[in-house]
Amino acid sequence: MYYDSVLMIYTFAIIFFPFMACLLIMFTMGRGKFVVATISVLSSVMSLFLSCTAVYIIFKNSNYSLLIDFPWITTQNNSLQAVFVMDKVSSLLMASASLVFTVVHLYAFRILNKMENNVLVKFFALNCLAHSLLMTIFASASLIQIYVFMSLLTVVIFLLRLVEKSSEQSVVSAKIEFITNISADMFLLLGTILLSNSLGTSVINQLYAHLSEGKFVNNTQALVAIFSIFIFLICKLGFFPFNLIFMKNSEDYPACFAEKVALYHTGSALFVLILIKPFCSVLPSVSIVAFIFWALLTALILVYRSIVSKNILHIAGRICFANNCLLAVVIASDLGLSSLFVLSISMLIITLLLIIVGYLMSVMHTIFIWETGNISKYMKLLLIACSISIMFLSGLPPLSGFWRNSAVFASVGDVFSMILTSVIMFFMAFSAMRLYTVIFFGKKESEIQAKNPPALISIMLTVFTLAIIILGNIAFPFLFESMGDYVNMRTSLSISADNFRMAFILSMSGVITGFLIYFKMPEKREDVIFSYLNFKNIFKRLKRSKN
Amino acid sequence: MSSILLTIMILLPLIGALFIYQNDSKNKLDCSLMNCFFMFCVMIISIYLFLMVDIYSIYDSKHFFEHIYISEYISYSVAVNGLNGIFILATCIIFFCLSLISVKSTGKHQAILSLVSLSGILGVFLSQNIVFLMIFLIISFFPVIYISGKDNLTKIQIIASLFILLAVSVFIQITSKPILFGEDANLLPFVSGININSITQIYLFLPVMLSIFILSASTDWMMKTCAKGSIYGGIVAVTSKVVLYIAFMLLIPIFPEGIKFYHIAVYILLISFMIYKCVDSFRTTQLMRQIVNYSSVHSSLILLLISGPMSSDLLKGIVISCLAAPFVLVVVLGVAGIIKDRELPSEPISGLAMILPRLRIVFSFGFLAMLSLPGTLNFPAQFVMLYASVNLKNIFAAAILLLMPIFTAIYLLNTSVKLFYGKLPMSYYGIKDVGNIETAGFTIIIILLVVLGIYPYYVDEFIVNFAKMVIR
Repeated sequence: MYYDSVLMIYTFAIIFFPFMACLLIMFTMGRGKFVVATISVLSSVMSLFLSCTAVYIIFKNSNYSLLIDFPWITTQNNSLQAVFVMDKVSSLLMASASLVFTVVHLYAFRILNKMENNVLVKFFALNCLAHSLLMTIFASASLIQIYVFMSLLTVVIFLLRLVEKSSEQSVVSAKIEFITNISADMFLLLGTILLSNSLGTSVINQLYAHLSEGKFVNNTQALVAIFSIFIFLICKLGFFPFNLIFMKNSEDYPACFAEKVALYHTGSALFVLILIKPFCSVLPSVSIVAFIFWALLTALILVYRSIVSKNILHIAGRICFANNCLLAVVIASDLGLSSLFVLSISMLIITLLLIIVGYLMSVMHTIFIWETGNISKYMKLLLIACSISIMFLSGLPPLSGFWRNSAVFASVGDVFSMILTSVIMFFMAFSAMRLYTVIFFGKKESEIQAKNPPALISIMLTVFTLAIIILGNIAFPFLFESMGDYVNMRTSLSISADNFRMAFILSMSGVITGFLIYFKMPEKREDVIFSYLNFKNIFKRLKRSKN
Repeated sequence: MSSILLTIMILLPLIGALFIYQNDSKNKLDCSLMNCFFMFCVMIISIYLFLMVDIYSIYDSKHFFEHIYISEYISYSVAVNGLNGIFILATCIIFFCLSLISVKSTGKHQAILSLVSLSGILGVFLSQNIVFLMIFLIISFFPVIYISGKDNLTKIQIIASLFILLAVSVFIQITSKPILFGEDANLLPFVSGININSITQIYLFLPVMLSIFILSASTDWMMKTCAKGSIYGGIVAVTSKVVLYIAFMLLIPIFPEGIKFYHIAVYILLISFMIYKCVDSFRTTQLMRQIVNYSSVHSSLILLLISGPMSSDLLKGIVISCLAAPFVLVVVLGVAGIIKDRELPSEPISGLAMILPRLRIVFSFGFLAMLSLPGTLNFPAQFVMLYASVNLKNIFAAAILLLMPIFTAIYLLNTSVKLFYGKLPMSYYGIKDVGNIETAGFTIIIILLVVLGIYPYYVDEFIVNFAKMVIR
């Protein structure tokens, strides 16, 4: 009873602190940039503290589920309820997301002097509002609630895009993304209404209960609902072809807004990945196979595009996106807590990498990978932090990325998907290593203004990196298996020794190949290699040889 | 007191109009303030009625019912019930806020027209007799016809539609042979139980439906007159939605057979019209025209839903939507009118976010409400209509309800982003933002939109009994 009350207070406090911060920022906008920034940091720190405490309480005791009967509107079949839940999953994700927001707000102190007062106020106010909405989505256990807050989040993200317009192109891509997101939300609304209509509920746990009784099987409306929600997931996750829209938008930012890119990648992946679990657990197995294949295809396209790109932010962003696709595969197949744990760590890794990349780009005044090089001797801290991120993304043991890769192998059944997965693993490691090697060990001697990052950044990076290492990067997912399934419907994935072996071989070979090729390699050689591998040139050469 | 309060409420705006007409003061502000004063008085009466009415009755004959017998078929009957009480309150609040929003631009003519319009609209909502309902509708359209100016075609359309409606309503009263049980003889169909035979329904439905459609389409087109001042746009916006009130009050209870007979033809007509309006919105870059097209599509959608299979949930959604639409339109048309007032003839306006930040925030709320965003009153309406359409297996309606916010976002986003975030020409740098009084007017409407959007349960209570009564 005591813990129930405490957790109830914690749930609402975590949601309302950032919201109150948003209102406070708007009312104190005339007080100065430092005040505004401090309010944001304090709100995210408070949220972080409360969510970490909630994690501790919940993992020590049992799940908590708060049901509020909020009479919003009544229809013939049911009355709509607001359902809030605070369990292991939501508390873990709240803590991770709060940490991300804290880091981003601290990092934004670096750009205080570069931004105008009104732009800064909008940036922090909208960030706090986005934080509050994300927390509410994590705590929501009803589809209609999720739709409502996701729609609001779509608007907030769009407004964030417009805060600092870097170019006409960025405004156009922001508009396209907004319309795509609204369309995706409409699919969710349709699916929600169809499910609510046919099964009489929109609460996720109650939906599971109906589904386990097989009520979906002969129910056309319910199947159409699942299809709609499937489309929503594909769009929101940024799977092909939607990745062309979302990646374009995130890549239009200048270097000084890498923290916004970081927020975008983590936030958008996060709140949708949490939805995969409920829906993939009820999708027919054919749909799961289609979903996995689609995710792998998207990952392959992203990895390819990261290899052929020379833009640092593009390469890093695409690898992170490919990582999200692989995690989607794992979460669709595995219902244990391990996958969610890796997801949480993954968010921190993405944030860390993108902030590092953004900082490097601003310090070196370039966005191209080949205009950097050999900075390992100047920035040791960045080297260590970047190494940790690259190790995770490449899938090297003992970090959780290795578990991720193994789990992907365990998820796929057919030969074609295994080949696809192998190609993705190899080239993902290769691309990550390319980025790392050229920047830190490249041939060109970079001219950089700052030899060491400012104290604030250094402290932040150090704490962040240590947190990632300590928080279970050493294949801790194994230890979490015993905490039980998320929804008690399917058993967790069983990863065999063969899966681990394959993952290890592919990651190591990709890393070694990348390092050997790009260590002290000049740019011209890469151009020559790519020109040979370019499909158009291959076709031309074949035509010439025939003639 | 209660026996004449409703009549006082209808006459008070007319008295105000007469007072302003008689006033010789050449100061614009005097007319604006008198306009605000009379609107405020009517609003106070409407709040009193709203608090006193029994929301669980369709009509409350004990306290707020006035009846003067004229003939067997026509009587002056006005009453407040659960449904019209909320519409009356909403209308009075909107008109009061309009008077605040246009306090600096309202002259003698505008004040008189808005008061006459309010009087007519209140009569429409309060009237319990079909013929008097039409008479009040004609009164409310006098300002609209006057505003139409040189647009003769629209004038003819409006006048013709109104008289067709009036003629048909008289015919309905005569052919239905109301059951003579005292004072209730001439009350509205869903109260008095008027039944018309199927053949008569089929003959009468088409002219009624067409005239409602033409009336609605014409008044939507008239919204472009808000170029003359934001108050005009607001008047026309509210009046065009009053037509929809007539549609669901009359068509559903009186013409169920007629609806079934003609529903395919009506669907084809309305869907074609909606497609035309959507295409026009995509082609144009004028904000006002896009808002007008949005209103037309909304009106057509309501008529389409009325012309299809019906349930109490769907009717509830329709009513909430008709309640929300004037709020949204007044906000966006108010902004469009103010922008138009400030536009220089030498070059088009853009980049307004720098000089009109308050107006930008107001427009953002209006824009998001047009997208049926959760948190605004349009969302519960859209949700309930979609839910009911799915329940009734009305695929066309469900598809339109899902596509409408997307298309609205597409065409309106381009225009509004360019208008507010484009490059500001040098000649516009001296323009001032809206004042505190105008902001207060907008704020009241936005607060109502958001509060009722977050908690529509209170509105739901008013409508649910009416909906069940009509679908009997």
